[in-house]
Amino acid sequence: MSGSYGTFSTKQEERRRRTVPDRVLIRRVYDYAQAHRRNLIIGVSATIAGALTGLASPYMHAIAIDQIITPKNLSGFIWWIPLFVAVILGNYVFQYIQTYQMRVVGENVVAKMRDDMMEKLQVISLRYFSEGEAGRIISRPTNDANTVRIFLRMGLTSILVDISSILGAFTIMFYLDLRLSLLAITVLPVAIVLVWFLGKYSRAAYRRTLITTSGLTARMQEDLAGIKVTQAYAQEKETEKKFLKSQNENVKATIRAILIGSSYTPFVIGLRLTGTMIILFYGVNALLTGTITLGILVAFTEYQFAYFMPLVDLVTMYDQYQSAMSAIERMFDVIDTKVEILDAPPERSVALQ
Amino acid sequence: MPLFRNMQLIMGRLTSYIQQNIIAMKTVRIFRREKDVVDGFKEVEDIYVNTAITAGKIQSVYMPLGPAILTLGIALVYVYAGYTLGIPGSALAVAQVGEIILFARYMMRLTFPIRDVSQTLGTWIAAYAGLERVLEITDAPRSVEDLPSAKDTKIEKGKLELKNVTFGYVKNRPVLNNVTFTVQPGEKIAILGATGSGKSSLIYLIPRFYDVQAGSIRIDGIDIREFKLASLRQQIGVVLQDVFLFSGTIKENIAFGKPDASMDEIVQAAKSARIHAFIESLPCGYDTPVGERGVTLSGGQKQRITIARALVGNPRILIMDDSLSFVDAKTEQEIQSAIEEAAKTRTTLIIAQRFSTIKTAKKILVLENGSVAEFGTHDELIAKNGVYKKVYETQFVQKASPILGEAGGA
Repeated sequence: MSGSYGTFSTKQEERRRRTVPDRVLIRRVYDYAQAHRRNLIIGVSATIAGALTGLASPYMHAIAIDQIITPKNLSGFIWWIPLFVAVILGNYVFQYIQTYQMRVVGENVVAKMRDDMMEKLQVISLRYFSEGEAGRIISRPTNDANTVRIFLRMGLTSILVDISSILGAFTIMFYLDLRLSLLAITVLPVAIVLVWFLGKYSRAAYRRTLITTSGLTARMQEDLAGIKVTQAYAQEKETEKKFLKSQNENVKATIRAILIGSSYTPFVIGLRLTGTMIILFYGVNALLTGTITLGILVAFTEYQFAYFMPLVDLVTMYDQYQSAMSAIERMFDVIDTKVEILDAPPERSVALQ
Repeated sequence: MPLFRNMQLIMGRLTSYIQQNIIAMKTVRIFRREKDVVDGFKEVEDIYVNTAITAGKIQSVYMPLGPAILTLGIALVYVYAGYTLGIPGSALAVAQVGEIILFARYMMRLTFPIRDVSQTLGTWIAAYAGLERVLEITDAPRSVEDLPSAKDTKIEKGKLELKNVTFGYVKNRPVLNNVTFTVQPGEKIAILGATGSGKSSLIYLIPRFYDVQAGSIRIDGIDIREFKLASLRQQIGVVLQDVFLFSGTIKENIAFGKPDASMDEIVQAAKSARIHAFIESLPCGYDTPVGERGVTLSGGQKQRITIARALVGNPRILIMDDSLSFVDAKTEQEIQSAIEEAAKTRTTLIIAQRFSTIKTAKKILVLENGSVAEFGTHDELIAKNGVYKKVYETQFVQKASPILGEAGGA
């Protein structure tokens, strides 16, 4: 990885390019999750099931409109209501299981990684702890662990939900009406290119917030460590000035990142509405000629929503995913650090008489 | 929701456990407590994981609840609409199916805001707990403040008088008790005392790191509380026990107390602190960075830079805490001569650990349990046959004999 001083001794680390491939990191985190394999399997299954039951709801609406309300076939509610309630309840239960199980897995995996880091920190060479390094070492089992924790808890489930929603929505759409589906996805390539393009700026801005945040943390660490010197020389104002400078950089970078991030929204909404317009334009004609029913048209606009938003979410999730991967890599840096002074095996150790 | 507050508290405990461990790693290693540290950490970690999972249980019940109830509401809309349509003679016509769909879709639009609200609730609770902790700091009272009558006063001579000074960190547990002594301008005083005798506290009172609880400290006859804090501290050079350098260049560190110091002043201070030659030998000289990304300095080198830092403002009063304990015999002598040079014109208080420091002092102040046990010149105190003589004989005579020899025997 980097020089002989170990990977966590350079200040440029936040910018440093990752060297371990994602799949290796994911594989290793998965190894940690092995101890909670049951929770993981239940959690992932519930996540997928939750996303799919969520997709059932617009279809249920279509049925209600087409088969019950429009033909005034009210007895249909006798089977429709229990079915609908069952779908909603099922969705609720799956979401409950998903949230809970993924939390169990996330907290336990991160806790185990943190334990391993702490164990390793007790035995690695003391030179890692040379002056000024403390802040950065501390951030491994605290800040980085927290990033990973939040990612495992929310990001991972979001990604799973998004992917199952997209695949599910596509399946249902193509099943309902092939031509309408093909029309509905015409906006898709535009959306992907646009979001990806904006994402480039957004990622750069996001990285800048990370760098300024770590600069601010380092500054704070030093200011606190040197507080007596600062007071002894009455340099509180100067110190504050420097701190405010770091802080301003951080605030500016954050605002910029948010600004770029939020510039997605109008484009995304615009594209989504364009998609809806295309569907309606064609759909209304099809409705008048009787090729599709009102319920299906309504459901279609819902499904278009159901695949579009997760798609955008997925692209924006890329940042979270990247920073989680960097955090995971940094945590493994600690866990994998070679121990230089090892105790001799017991049979070779000599008692001092 | 006390559970979420708890979670934050435990998270805080976990973090401070890690911080303390890493900062005190050397101590942990020396006492071979690695296993205890890890065991202790796992205990806190277990509590944390359990609390987090319990909190997760509650969150997972209420988070999807809002959208679920909303969807059920939509079902009710359909049912109601369906029945209304079915009533014979009802005003609702098929055309109004559109309105029903519109209504249902508006309701569905509520799903995201409602989910956001329940997520925000969690954030809000966490933010509130965080705010409380921030306010603890911002609302903490300042312990030392400028009096309204405080002035920027120049210290001309540097006469230091302590009169019946009593001070403690906790009420009714004084660390210093009724301390009275006077240092004439330019005099050098060595302070001697066992650990916990109040040496450090005593010298911290002079730049007003803390305020006396009773009695007074005067400089040139003016109570130090009548000085503006910044003005007082800028005129007192302080060398603290632990050497701390900021990341930045050596120049910036030496000029820390006087950012507008000229290069001449900086070099002069470095020369007095016997560090000039070393700095010149570095590749970038005075612009060499120190700290995380810079050169690694030895304890003695850092020590001398902190002395240079204290000398840069040319203070009338110089305060040093255990400052020579780091250096080897050769460096010690170099610094000793520098201090001699500086102390000629300055009032100096040194917490001393070595006889070489003590022997150059004009007077010696012996502290015992926060009170002045003895105060006088070396000869006076030896003649007195008290604590100082005992310490001198048991600690200095044998160990420091080569130095004593050089000094021609005291």
